Formats: sequence, C-alpha cells, structure tokens
Amino acid sequence: MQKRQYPVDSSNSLHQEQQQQQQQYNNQQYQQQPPFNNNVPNDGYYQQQQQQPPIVNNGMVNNNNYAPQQYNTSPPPPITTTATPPPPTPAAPFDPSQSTSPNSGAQKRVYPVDPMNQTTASFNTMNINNNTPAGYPQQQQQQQQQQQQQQSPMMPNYQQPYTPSQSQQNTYSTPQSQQPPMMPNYQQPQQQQQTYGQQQQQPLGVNYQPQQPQQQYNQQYGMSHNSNPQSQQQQQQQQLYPEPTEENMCPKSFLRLSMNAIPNSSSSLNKTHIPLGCTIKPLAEDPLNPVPVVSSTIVRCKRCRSYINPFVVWMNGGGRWKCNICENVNDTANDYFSPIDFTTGKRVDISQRPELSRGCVEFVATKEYTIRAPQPPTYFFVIDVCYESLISGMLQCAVNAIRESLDSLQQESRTKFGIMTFDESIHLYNLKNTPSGKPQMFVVTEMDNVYVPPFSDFLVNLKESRQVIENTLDIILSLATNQKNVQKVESCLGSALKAAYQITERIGGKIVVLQSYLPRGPIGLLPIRDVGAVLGTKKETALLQPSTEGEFYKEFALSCISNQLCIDLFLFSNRYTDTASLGSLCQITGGQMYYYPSFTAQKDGQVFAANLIRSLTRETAWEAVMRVRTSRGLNITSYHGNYFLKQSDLLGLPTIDSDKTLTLQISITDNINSKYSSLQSALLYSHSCGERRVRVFTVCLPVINNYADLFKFADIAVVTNLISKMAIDKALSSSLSDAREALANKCVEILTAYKTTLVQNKQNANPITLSTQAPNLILPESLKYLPLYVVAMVKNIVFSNHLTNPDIRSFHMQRLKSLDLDSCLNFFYPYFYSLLIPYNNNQQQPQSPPPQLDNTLPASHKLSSDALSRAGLFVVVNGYCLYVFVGEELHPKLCMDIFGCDQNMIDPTKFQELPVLDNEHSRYARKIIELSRAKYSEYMKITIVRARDKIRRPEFQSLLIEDKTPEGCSYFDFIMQLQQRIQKS
Amino acid sequence: MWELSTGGFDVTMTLSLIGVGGLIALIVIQLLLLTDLETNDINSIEFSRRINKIILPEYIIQAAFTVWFLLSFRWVLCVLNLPVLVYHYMRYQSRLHKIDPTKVYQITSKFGNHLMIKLVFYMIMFFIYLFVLLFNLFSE
Repeated sequence: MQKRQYPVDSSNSLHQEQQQQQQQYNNQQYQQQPPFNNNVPNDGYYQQQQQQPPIVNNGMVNNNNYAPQQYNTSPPPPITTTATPPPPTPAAPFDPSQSTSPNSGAQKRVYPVDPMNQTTASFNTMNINNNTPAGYPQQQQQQQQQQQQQQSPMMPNYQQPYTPSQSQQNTYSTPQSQQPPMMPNYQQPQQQQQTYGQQQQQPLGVNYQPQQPQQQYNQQYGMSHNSNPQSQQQQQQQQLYPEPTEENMCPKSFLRLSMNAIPNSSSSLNKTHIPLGCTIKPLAEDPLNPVPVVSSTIVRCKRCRSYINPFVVWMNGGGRWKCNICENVNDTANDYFSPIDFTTGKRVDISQRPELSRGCVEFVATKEYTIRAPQPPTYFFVIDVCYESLISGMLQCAVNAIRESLDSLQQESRTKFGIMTFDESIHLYNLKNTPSGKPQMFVVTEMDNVYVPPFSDFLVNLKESRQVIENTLDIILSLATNQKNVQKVESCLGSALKAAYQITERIGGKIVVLQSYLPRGPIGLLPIRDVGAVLGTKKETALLQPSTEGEFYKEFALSCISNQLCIDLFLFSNRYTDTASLGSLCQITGGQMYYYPSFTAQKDGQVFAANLIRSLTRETAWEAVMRVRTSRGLNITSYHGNYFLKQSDLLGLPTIDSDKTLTLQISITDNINSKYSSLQSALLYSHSCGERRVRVFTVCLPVINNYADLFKFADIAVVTNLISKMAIDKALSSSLSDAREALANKCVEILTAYKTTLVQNKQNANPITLSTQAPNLILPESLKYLPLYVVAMVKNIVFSNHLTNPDIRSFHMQRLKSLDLDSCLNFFYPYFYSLLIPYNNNQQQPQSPPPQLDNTLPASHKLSSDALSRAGLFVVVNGYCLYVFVGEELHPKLCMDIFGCDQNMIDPTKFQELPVLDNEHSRYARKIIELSRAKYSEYMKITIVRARDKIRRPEFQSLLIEDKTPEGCSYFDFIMQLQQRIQKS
Repeated sequence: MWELSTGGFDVTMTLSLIGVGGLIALIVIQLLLLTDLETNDINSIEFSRRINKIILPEYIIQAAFTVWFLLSFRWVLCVLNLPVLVYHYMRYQSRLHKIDPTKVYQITSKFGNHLMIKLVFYMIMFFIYLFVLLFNLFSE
C-alpha cells in the first residue's frame, strides 16, 4: 500500500461526496433539507418578513380605542429623512426619531422592542399595502422601504428572539422550523424588497454577502482559511483532514454546541466569558434527519474506544486510520478495508457506509455489548387510590388513559405490563391469563416490612394477558368507587415503591407512580415543611432541595439505578407535596415529574391524560448508558439533566426518551494545536424491538486562535440554555438572589468582553446596539438577544423574587433541567398571539379567508402590554401552559362565536378547551391553539385570564417580560443598567 | 506546658498514639478508594457506601480524644485538636459528612484536598504525641 501524496481538491471532493450521497440516500428525506446555512444571506429578508405587522390585531370592534387610533393618527415614519419630521408622539417613552441617513443604517440601530418603532414599522407596511394613501408620495415610500430594509435586521419587533438562530442553524430542522411559524403569509412586501434590493446597503457585512453554500458553511464554522490561497496550499500539503460539512456533521437537532468553533486555549475561552457546552437530545424526533442504522462491524479506536466517524484520517491508502479523538493510528481490519479514491480523497465504499459519511449513525451492537438479553419494554403502574384520587377524578382519568395507550404499547409484542394500587395497604393483581379472565388480587397490609408473594405474574406480557388487564382496570375502578365512603387518606408511597421494586427489580423498566398526597405511612414519610417563614429569604433554597426525610427517596432511586428502573412521577396533591424531595426519584433515574396542583378532572383531566399517554407511547430507549468523548484539550466538567453518573464519564440512564435533553459543560484544559477538535457522544441502549444499539453522534469543529472571532460563532440558544442551567445550580447551592445576580453578571461579563475585543480589532466586527438611548451598549450580532433572555430568566418563575409556592418553583426547576432547547427558550420568552382574525388593512372587515389556515402561525407580538387591548383576545404560549387573555371589552358577539357563551359565563376553574363551533372566528382561534400545541411534545392546558381576575391576571402580567413588573425592571431599563455597568467596568 | 510533666509511662499518650495511627489508616483507606474511583475501578454508589461507613468512626475517634485531652487538662493538645473537631461538627450539622452518590464526581477534587490536609494534620499530631510520650519517659 502506497502512501497517498498528491493533493486533492477539497471543493471537488465535496461535490463528489454530495453526488454519492444523493445516489445512496435518494429516497431519504434529508435531501429536501435546504443547503447548509442557506438562510443566512436572507436573514435580512427573513427578519423583514417578521417585521410585517400582524395587521391590526385588535381592531375588530369599532369602539376599541387602541389600534384603530394608532392606525389613523400615528405620524408618518420618523426615520425618513426627506419627509418632514413628524411631531413626536407624546405617549412615546423615548424619542424614536433618530437621525438615520439612508446610508447609516448599519451604525444606528434601533432598540428591538422600541414601542414607537413598532408603530413606525407597521405604518410603513400599511402604506405599502394600502397602495399609497393620499398625500404620501411614492418616492417617500421607496425610501421608507429602503430604510426599513436597512434597519430590519436590528429591529425584529414581531419576531421570536431565537428565530435568527433557527435560521442559522438550518440543520436543526423540526417540522416547524421548515415552515417557520412566524412567517407572514402575504408575499407582496417581499417582492417589493427584491426590486429595491439592488440599492440596498447590506448592513451586516459577513452574514449578508451572497455566498456559495460551502463558503457560507465555512464562514459559520470559522473556516475562512479556505479563501486564502496560501492556506489552501498548506492544506494540500498536509495530511488530508476531512472537512466538516453539512452532510457529515451531526444535525443540530441531536447535538448542538454553544459555539460553532473551539477556542485554542482556556485563556481565550475565559476572555470571552461565553460558556462552552453542548446540548444532546439523543432520541430527538427529527423526520428530516433519520438516523441510518448500520449493521456492519463496529470499528473503534484501540486506545480511546471512540467509534469510527467521518472525521478520521485515512492513511497508507486506507490501510490505517488516525482517530480524530485521540490521534492514535489504528490498523484497518481486513474485512473493513477499502481503497481510497484518489480523485476525491475518500474511501471508495463511502456511499455504502453511512458511518463514514454521516455525523449521526446507529450501530446494531453485537453480543459484546450486552450483559443480559435486552430487556422488554416494561411498564409498572403504582396508583394511589386514596380518597383524594377518587373525588378529584384522577383515578378515572388515569384508568381511561392507560386503557387508551394499551393498543400502542401492544404493538411491541414483548411489552410487559403490571399494575398495583395502594392506600394504607397495598393491592397486588395477579394478571396471569386464565380462562375466566379475572385477576387474582392480593392485599398486603404490613407496611413496615413489605412482603410480596413470590409470583412472577404481577408483571405479565401485555399481549397474552390483555383481557385480564382490561378486567383489572375495571375492577380497580369499581372497587375504588365502592370505597368512596371510607375516607382513606394514609397514602403509603414508600411501602408501595418497595413492593414495586421487588416485583420489577429483575427486569427493569419504567415505574409510573400516580400520587395524590404527601407520602405518609411508616416508610418514606415526608413532613410538611414550614414554608411561610422562609419564603423570600435566603433560606428558601432549603425548600427547593430534598429534606432530611427525603433521603429515603434518594436511596430508593439509587437502588433503582443498579436495576435499570426508571420512575415517572405524577403528582396531584391539592396541598403541600414536597416536589423537591420526591423529585429526586425522577432526577436520578432519568424519569420525569408531572405536577398538577389541585387536580380536578374537569380542569386538568385532559392535560393529564395527554401527558400520561405521551409518556407511555413516546420512543423510549431502555437500560442505556452514554459516554461523551472529546478530543485532546477539551474536558467535560459537568452534566445537567436527569441522569446518574456511574463513572466519571459514564452516564447511567435506565430509560431515556425522545423528550429528554442532556446539557454538558465543557472546559478547555490544554492548548489545542490541531486544526479541528472533535466531540463524540455514544449512547448504548436496548431498542424497544429487542436489539442492542449504539447511537453515535460526532461533531468536528475548527479551532480558532483569535478569541474575538468566537463571538461570531456563539449560538444564543445553547448559551442561554447553559446559563440557565448554571443559574439553577447556583440557586440550589446558594440562593435565588445569587442566581439572579449571576445571570445579570454573566450578561455584563460577556458584553464587556465583547467591548474590549472591539477595541483591538474594529474592522471585522459588526456590532449592533439595542436602543438609540443606549448607544454605548454594543453587542455581537450572534448574541443580540442575550439581554432579552437574561431579563426573561430573571423574571421567570424559576428565579423570580416573587413569592412562589416552593412546590411549583421546584417543579419548574426540575422540569427545566431536562427540557429541550426550544421549549427552554420558549419557557423564558413565550409566544404572544392574537386570537382574533386580523383586519385587512384597507377595509374594516376581517380578512377572509382567515390567513393562517395553511399551518403557519401569525407573527408573535412583543411581550408587552402595549400589544394588549381591551377588546382583544390573546394567547401567551410558554410551552407549559396557554394563557388566554380575554379583554374586558371583547365584543359579545365574538365572545359568543369563540366561547359559545357570554364572557361572564366562562368559568376559569372548569375551562379546558375552546368549544368546537362552526364559525370563522372559532375556527381561527382553535387553529392557532392547535398549531401552538403541535410544536411541543408536552400537551399544554389552557388557562383563561380575564382582565379583572385577581389571581390569574398577575400571573399573566408577569409573562409580559418586556414591561416593568413586580419581578423586575422593564427590558428597556435593563438595557440602560447594562450600559451603565459596562461603562463602569 | 505543665501537663507534659506527668512522669513515667503515659497511658493516655500511648492510647492517643494508637488512635491517631488509626485515624491515619482511615484517611489512607479513603484516599485509596478515591484513587479507585478516579480510575473507574469502583462506581460511585459503591464508593459512597464504603466511604460513608468510615467517615463517622473517624469523627468519633477524633472527638473522643479531644474530649479526653480536655478532661485530663492537656490544654495545648486539646486546643490543637479543636479546629478539626469544629470542622467535623460543621460538616455533620450541614449533613455533608455523608457522600451523596449523585454528586460524587463534582466533589472528588475538593474531597481529595480535604483528605490530604487531614492526613498532614494527623501526621503532625502523631509526632507531637510521640514527642510528649518520649519526653515524659525520659524526663524522670
């Protein structure tokens, strides 16, 4: 075998590779995916589209004194230089009329949520859409249009903050991001833009240049060296290092880093203050990027045991390969050998081997990877049948939901099923399939030392015993109903868990616990902690951590870990539940906690049933372990999520499902001299079908020397996520106020660091400012939403200084720990839509047909009361709950159309769903809610907020985070404070 | 240093010497377990289980000697031992004396440092006791 020496054209190789890819994966969907980073040059347009006003959202009724006024009387856009400057509106909190000349758009930025600016923007577009109102010359309109374009990237009023990152991240392709929900439906303005596009000055140099896809990619991933002929030569002389491309990187829906480049030393990382880390969602449901399953031999590096991936370097004509993680040179096994195609520099068989061309693959593991036969999917239910469960209707809901999900569970023929109920005693059901179809019931009354009869039939094959199981569910329901008069309130969760453990310990699987009370009984008793005295003080942290008595649950969870048991917890108590102590059951075992405070079937039944069914039927990996390997110089410092660290780098996950995300913090321990740095995560698990599989994600990132460039490559979504996880740790280890402080400090540190880099190299950076009032606050383009998210986090229920029930706060904290990226950001910065059909601009009539029946949501408003109106109907979606705000002057006819009753007749305590009514308004409102729900795996319940509701209104108001709320200052004030602090430092 | 003037063979000091030897042994065991953990020879649950068995005896032996020195009016030795006693007491109060298996890997380096400091301290104490013992033996 000869050593390959001649240079290979890398651009050519890419082309070839793509062709090969096409041949092989012709039928697969990810070909439809847009070219990598396609959207970046269009960012301006994209945001421009977001700019379009949601037409008049609240002008349904004429007596409404809000938007129509704006519509009629608001001044012409003040940014036009040729037009006579309009008198500033008295209501405007700060002067929006900036001295922007048509060419200076890049320097003068607009505060993204400038209320005045919003009016401006909408007015602009209205003019365009209205075909020039009288007295408004066409010329001006064009200029406005230009200006709007210039400014558009900086003032995304109607845009969700993380949309730009979605457009940048491109491979992160959920169904929603392919059809961006905020995309407006009318095309006209965009066409006009294209006409003027020639004259337009591109405000943000790098990102707005039209580029070839590969160049764009390089830009995003810091590989600008390609354009330099000298470096290209160098590259050719060097060993051929496989370039990271769109194809061979792991899609961002699975693994996403906070920076798309790696700094070369820890000092340069520390200088930027941006946390380095990544989020991994191992079983993400990504229809655009199906993970190819490989059943050939698994090739691993001899030294570091990492799996073969597209970034290994082939040497000696394919006879040896150099591991990209540890740089060890391995011999290629004879049966894996393939010659190198010298024209492309790739292996000849690359099209047959997905593991060499894709960053995410799934290997079918051999026997060496199995300790025992892969476990069957196992579900064991532990249901509290005390008084509370009966009267709240929980039991009825649960039994119905379980029965509903039986069919989909049965699709896998090996599924095992078991059920037990408990109050002050434990009821076990022998589900063995008998001709009579009746289960045998055992009652265990000794709670101190639980004894379970040694039968194996408490956990049976679902398919074989389906009839018995159905009968058992009936019996459970009827027994409980008969006992309604006996008020059993002694809910012995500890003993029940012990019994469940004895039944399931040999098999492993999932224990689903439904619990209505704070646990009592001899084992696992939890005291009611004194909440009132410490709430709001520094000692509040103690309430968010497990109590001394809660150690029982921690120890129990640890024993579950060694037996591959996972616990999903559903809590329904209407009093104190101590979610902090019980939560360790789920946190350690990789389960999930659901909490329904004061559960009643009328109010929460639907949500609970939907969540229970989801938790049973989503894709689940069993008895999993995960390890993340990094190349030299990188080190994983901590993990966040629901997991247990079995060894220093081995995560034990009894089960992991498609909704769980793990977050890793990475540090740099050594100077990195190589050109690329790699990271590989490997999840070894038992698939429900009975195969043992290894799911491998690999990313390879360029190492950059200039730390100032790092700001360009930061990913705001992951950065926000990391900061929030670190703040949760801070809140638990010291106090909530420290956590809030840390959040703000982090923001200041990053922006100060950015400012200092700007002093050193001015020409490359394209700083932006948020407000004309804060000209000294400069931000990198990639992190322009950081202050917004920090404000949102500080005011969020998890960190806010508002006195919150510790149960609820702890629940949200734990939920946030394993939440995926989108939901996490959305939880901080919710969507805000109007539920009323928007008006056409020139007629005082609703648009017909309603615009967004084509599966796209309208543009989201900025989260401020400015967008609210008395006659409006709005919805705020934070991924956990849908808050429907009913304005007090909502037209009775509209109310009738949508709710089917008068406004005063809506009962927020019983409301579950918008009624299905056959009219345009109802259809529109329901469609928006349906589309919002479709974006999340978790089913969201609807909370009705009426304007005069004393309980829910403040809760709703606190979601409008750009306003000044009791939780903290407004976004604008925060920006001013930031400016001051950064100037001082 | 009047307590040093106890003439002849000092039973208390001999016992202290044995005791502090035991403490050193316990620390060494913990350090060995820690090394095992770092090389992934034992998992975190096993590590915590074994360490948690050892920690309380260590605290008790240390506390017993401090109290005994107090009762036998050996002020200097008592005062020397006091900081460690206070430290142990604070750990016990804040429930940090038991190692939490879920947080093992976050605290390993800190825990290792604590162990090293304590090891050095016990070594010093060992030599002091030895010195006192010998001093008393030969001061006759």
